[in-house]
Formats: sequence, C-alpha cells, structure tokens
Amino acid sequence: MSSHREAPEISKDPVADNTDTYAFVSPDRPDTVTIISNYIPLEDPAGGPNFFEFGDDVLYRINVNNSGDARADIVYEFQFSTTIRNENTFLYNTGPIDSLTSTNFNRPQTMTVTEVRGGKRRVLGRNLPTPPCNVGLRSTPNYPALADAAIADVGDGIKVFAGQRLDGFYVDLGSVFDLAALRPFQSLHLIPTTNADGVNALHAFNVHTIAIQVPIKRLTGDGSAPTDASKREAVIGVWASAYRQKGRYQDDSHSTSSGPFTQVSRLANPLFNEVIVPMSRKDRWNRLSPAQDSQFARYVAQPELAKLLPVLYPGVFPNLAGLTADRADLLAILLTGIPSGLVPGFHNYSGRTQADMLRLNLAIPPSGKPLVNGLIAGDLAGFPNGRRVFDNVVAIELRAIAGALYPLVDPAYVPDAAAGALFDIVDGTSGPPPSVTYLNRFPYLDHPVGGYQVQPLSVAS
Amino acid sequence: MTVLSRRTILQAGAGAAVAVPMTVLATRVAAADRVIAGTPGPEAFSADGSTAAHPVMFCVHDAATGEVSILHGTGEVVVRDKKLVSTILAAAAATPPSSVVTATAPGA
Repeated sequence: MSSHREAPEISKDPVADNTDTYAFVSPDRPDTVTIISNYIPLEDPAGGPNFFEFGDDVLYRINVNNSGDARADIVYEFQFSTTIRNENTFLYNTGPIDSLTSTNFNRPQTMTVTEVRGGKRRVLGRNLPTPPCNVGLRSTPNYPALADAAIADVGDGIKVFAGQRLDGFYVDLGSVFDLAALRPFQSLHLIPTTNADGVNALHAFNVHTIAIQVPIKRLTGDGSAPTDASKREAVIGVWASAYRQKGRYQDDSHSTSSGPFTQVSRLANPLFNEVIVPMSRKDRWNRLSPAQDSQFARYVAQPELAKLLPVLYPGVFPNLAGLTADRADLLAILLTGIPSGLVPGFHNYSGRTQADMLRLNLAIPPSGKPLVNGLIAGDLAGFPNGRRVFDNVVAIELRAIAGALYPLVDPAYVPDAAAGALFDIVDGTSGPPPSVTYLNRFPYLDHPVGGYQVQPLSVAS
Repeated sequence: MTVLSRRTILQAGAGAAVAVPMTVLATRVAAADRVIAGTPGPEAFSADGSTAAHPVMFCVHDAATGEVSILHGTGEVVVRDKKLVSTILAAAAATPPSSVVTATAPGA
C-alpha cells in the first residue's frame, strides 16, 4: 500500500499511521497549494459503535521545506480534542445528526490548527469542528452538508478540513503481497494462474483526512508566487509526520502521557518505506526526519523489487536483470528531485540533500486535462511532481522500478517491453478505477462510504 | 441512567458534557547531581513539585551511572543522579513484580 500499515510498529497504532500524503497546486484555486495527509488505514465504514477518530494524544504535522535542506521551514500542526455529551449511552449518536452542533452527535471532536514559521507559533484556529463518521442513512442523513460545514477558513486565505473521507488511493493489495502476482499478468508469474483483472483492495474503505489549502506565497522562501518553472526556488518539499509523547502511563481508569513529542510516523513519496526500506529498518525510518535519509539511499540505488521482478517473472525482464548500476533515475525521483535537462520543460530538483519529500514545482499550473499516470504520460502537473489525489502512483512507481525511466539517465539502456506496460488495477489511460470518486474542490477526496450502505467483500476462489 | 425513547432517538438526544478527570501524580523531582540534557515543557512545576495536568514519569537508562530521563508536561530532562536511581531501584526491588495488574479503584 502507499503507506497503510507499512512498518511493524506503526501498524499497531492506526490513529498515528500516515497512509498517504498529497501535495498539488489546487486546480480550482491555482494560487494555492493543497496538502493532504491521511491516517487510519482500512476503515470499515460499519466499524461502530466506536467509530474512527483522530488521536487526542497524537500531534499531527504537515511540513514544508522551501530552502532545499529538507528541514521544515513551515509547519502546520493539528491537535484534536474529544468530548462525550451523554455519558450514559453506548451510542455514537442518539438520533440523526443534522448539524455539527447537533446534541445527537455524542462524541464530537474538535481541532486546533497552529502554524509554525521561523520558530514562531501562531494559532490559526481553535475548537474547529470535525464531522462525524458516515454512520448511515438514518444517523448522518445529509453527509455532504455535514462535511462541508467542517471546512474552515482560518484567515490569510487558508482553508482546513479534518475528518473521514473515502480513500482515494487504489491498489491491488492481494496481488502485490502474494509474491507480486500482479493482475492481470499472473500467467507470466513464476507460480502462474489464469489472468484476471486487478482488484482494488481499498474499495469502499475510508480514511481520516487532514487537509490544508495555503496560498502559494505563504509557502515560498521569498513570499512570491513563482512563475518560472526552471528556477530552484519554484520547488518546495512536503511531508507529513505524527508524534506521540515519550511516556505513557495506564492505571485503573485511564491512560495519560507525558514528555516531549517524538515522531512515530512520516510519509512523503508513496511506497518509499513500504517497498524500498527493509523491514528491519522501517520503524527506524519512521522516527527520522527526511534530512537524515541519505542512510537509506543504498536501498533506492539497488531496490530489492527490481531484483525480484526478473525472478518472479522468468524471461520477462532480461534487461532489468542485467541492470546492475546504481539507479540514478530512482535516486533523483525519490531523493533529490528530477534535475533540469531530463524531462523537457520540467524539474523538481530541490538540491543535493537526499531526502524523501514530495517535491512540487509551484510554477507548473494544474493540468486542464489531467492524466493519472502523471509525468510518465507527459502531464507535468502529476506525480512525481507532487502528488494529486487520483494519480496512479503504484503503476508509475512499478514502471520506474522496472526500468522504464532509466533511459533518462542512460540513453543506451533499452527498457524491457514489460516495464512500460506494468500496472496495478488500471493502466491509467482511462483514468482511475471507476469505483473511486473524487471531489473537484477542497478537500478533493470524496465523502466517505456510509456504514449502513456498505456491502461486505466477497471472496473469489 | 438515561433511558432512550423513540422520541429521543427521532428528535433530540440530550446529553451533558463531561470532563475526563486527569490524575495528577505528584512526584517530587530530586535534586540532580548533573543535568545532561533537557527540553523545557510549557507547563511549569507547581510549588510542591507536581505538574498541573500531567504526571511526572521517569526512565532509568543506566543504573551504574545514575542516568535517568524525567518526563514532565511536554518536556524532558536527563540527569545523572546515582542516589536517585539507587532509591528507585531499591523501591522496585522491595516489591515482587506482578505480571498482571487488576483494577482496584472504586467503580472501576
């Protein structure tokens, strides 16, 4: 998965488990950037009576670097507070929730948003309401209105939202983790089966989203809105992170925490910790900052999955099998940004510091007709130039790891035919899977699936 | 105990906001021989050495050197205090460890 349950330790702490991070120039407000970080993987919409919520004891951050050193120059912090209105019921809601102030909403959660800039903290909003989970037709009868009411304008052109959303990421988990038997290519696998279409394992699962929309001028180092995409200053780096206090004490009635907040999760490029970093180092990676990522560069330079593909698909990747040089293409895509001169009219190089960040060139406007395969399809506004909610990141990264982009750094290399054809669920030519829907406005991820409306998964033979 | 009725379900389930009580563990911070490192927390210690809303916790890193982390509020101080660590370890050794702790508080 992008980063759902991607490391042993954080997989046991879902409310702090960052599943996806997105950063893109807002298509309907192109003078702003939208940054989204999702938490709580694989929310079953019917998972009551204690429906999903953010952790009151977790500090959530969205980090922006504009100076190329992979250290946070601007931070947006999000902290949550939950109350129980009626302590004598087991119910999440004691009737229909028709507004965020409804007394039927028995477990409301509010949010405080703080901006940290130049070491100075400024609270942008306190006690901002968040919507309930989408319980069902009777409990949350007009969910879009509830969710929209939770979009807050906190001044300076900044919008924020936090709450449940439909997971916009799509991936065939069953195939990826069953020895990478990618559907529909399983007949070519070392352990072959009949080809069949891919399955979106995240279909009808929800997540919890923290989204912020910020004017571009508030994110650049000099306070300008870049117009020249060739400039280094046009590129920002973005990542999300979550923190818990160092000490936790549990007694007969409750638990409490003490001490400084320490990082337990982070995320920028999808799949970085998931398929690049070895399992033995994944927990360590989650505790470090991007500026310390050079120690993981060797796993990018010699990715394990690139060695596995020729073994798992005999005869399909002969050229990849012979590619033993360090993968300068992947080092650029994932750790420094793509320098000028490799892709016409494009760069998102942020400097020599090797760091896993989503690198977004702010001077590249949103696409009028976005292509979900992003940069490899010629859409300069798509992944890995930041990441949009609908980008086909699994297919893009599969193709990159299989060597499809290696000619950018070594024109003599001829990719295997399969490298450019790999995909997971959809090849991207017709957009995302039809079952995954999005909004064309903030917060862009669609309203969550209702617990009453969801149907159980089926099992194929 | 509130009894839910059809009316309350369909109209307005009344509820009263409650505050979750926070136990304050009043722990006096011993004078340390040497402060090794610290991150100040925003919550100041009160006159009796306790914090306003959070317990003080500690973690002994090295009994031989007396190095111990003291967590308070959102801060941490690492001190080297053999006497403090000796007292802690002696108290721990005086009570047999219990693998499972059951609730003892009234109403638990």
